[in-house]
Amino acid sequence: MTAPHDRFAVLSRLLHWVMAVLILAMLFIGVGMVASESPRYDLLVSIHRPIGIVLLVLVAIRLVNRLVNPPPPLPTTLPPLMRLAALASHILLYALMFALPLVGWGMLSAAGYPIVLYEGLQLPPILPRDLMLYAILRHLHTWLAYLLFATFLAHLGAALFHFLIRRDGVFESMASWRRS
Amino acid sequence: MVTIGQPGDPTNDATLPWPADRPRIDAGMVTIDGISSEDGGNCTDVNYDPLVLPSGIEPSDDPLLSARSAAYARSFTLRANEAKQKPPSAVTPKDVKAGGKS
Repeated sequence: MTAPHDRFAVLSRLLHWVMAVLILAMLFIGVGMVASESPRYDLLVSIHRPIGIVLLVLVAIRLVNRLVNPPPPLPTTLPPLMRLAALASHILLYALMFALPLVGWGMLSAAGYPIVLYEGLQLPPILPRDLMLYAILRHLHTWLAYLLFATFLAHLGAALFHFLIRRDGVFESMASWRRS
Repeated sequence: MVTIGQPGDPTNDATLPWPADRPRIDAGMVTIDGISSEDGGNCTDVNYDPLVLPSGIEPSDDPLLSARSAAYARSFTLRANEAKQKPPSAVTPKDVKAGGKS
């Protein structure tokens, strides 16, 4: 039986789903562009950069929104270990959502590349030009992306676990679009 | 040399030559007036990516540009990774001035 459970605020749900689509797209764009040398490569790289910066702006808005509109409490029936896993995985998700665009921006800065978002719109470097630093950040970008993908899968698995097995309203608190 | 193309000249296939009568402009000459080792030179740490262009210059639809950009990005990362382990250049300016290594 579904226990009554508050939903996330409309803005929270909107941010969640817009970012979910963009992040999933970015993971595949990222994997696709490093695996490609076709003319698609240029296209993929040139959309990877602006979407990354959009995600950085969105996650900043999202963090502020989370303080303004705190998430609904987890059901009291949830065992402490799952409560801890929920907390830890959300901290990890937020950390990665901030880290990936910043590491991407930083690695382009360290390599001395121009950080072109759109024709004529360029961001300043945020790190000094340093080849070793570039190499470290470039690899970090890949590994953090894999970690984000793994965390996303865990998040999806947990959401489905709430929806299909625990049926405690946690899934609906984010995924339901019915009018309140 | 700069060759001035005309509409319809293929730009997306480097294996197709343009007609021989296209005007050509001698736009300058490269003069080598000094030598330096790659160790201290200023072009080692740069990725000459053909898609990193100053504003006002657009890439063509040549698929080689994307392929080179992708391959250069990868090799640049590998090179950057080894920057500290790289042994000093095997050929020094002194060797070159002496006419090569004996």
